[in-house]
Amino acid sequence: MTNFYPKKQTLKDNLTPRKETVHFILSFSRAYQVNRIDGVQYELLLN
Amino acid sequence: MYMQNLTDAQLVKRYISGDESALEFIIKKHQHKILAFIISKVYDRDVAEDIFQDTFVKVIKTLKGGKYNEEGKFLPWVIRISHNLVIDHFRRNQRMPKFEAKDREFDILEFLSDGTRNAESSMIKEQIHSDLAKMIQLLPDDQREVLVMRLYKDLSFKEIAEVTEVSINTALGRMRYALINLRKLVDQNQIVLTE
Repeated sequence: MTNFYPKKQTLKDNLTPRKETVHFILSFSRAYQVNRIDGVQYELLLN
Repeated sequence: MYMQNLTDAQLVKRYISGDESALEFIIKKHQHKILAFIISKVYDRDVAEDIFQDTFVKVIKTLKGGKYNEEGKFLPWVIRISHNLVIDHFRRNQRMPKFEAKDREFDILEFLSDGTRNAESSMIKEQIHSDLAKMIQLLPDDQREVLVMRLYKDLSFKEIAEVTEVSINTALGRMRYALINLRKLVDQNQIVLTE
């Protein structure tokens, strides 16, 4: 019998962030550094 | 992998001490709940992805900046950050969220259905979802918030209490009144919620 309805997406399919989103977060995390010099906090974003 | 056995507090500690892989594990562990929370507020997949991303940028900055002090309450803390970002989003766009997705790309009510169904059953179910969504929209904000978090986002009452910054008893009370009021609304509007 022909199925006229597209395959239903599961909750898991829809609630998983895109790979690019997670990749950006992890890349940002690796690049983001915080240094403190003489009590002053400096934020750095490394290449 | 042994990280599976670590608590959130232990994973956060590892991340702060320089283990970047702990962050990936934290994201995988909580991504469904956090994204579900955001989507249920904004009803737009692309906007939700942006807010999810911004949420973790704030998480990273806070953790690496040594400002995190909510040990043991990591998930509610992250959800509170995303909640604030959702509010910022609506302030920027100066509009309130709508309950139904505009483009039907994502409709959390769709997940209540099961298996294959014929066209008639599908239409009836859509009507029920639509009626129910309208009734939920009529609930007071605090009751609607608890009901959506509990039923559609699968948060525990403990988590709801922490996110909304009320006691568990208050969250339970709001859920009770939400269900009572929902029943009244269904009766008043003579809506049939069965197939």
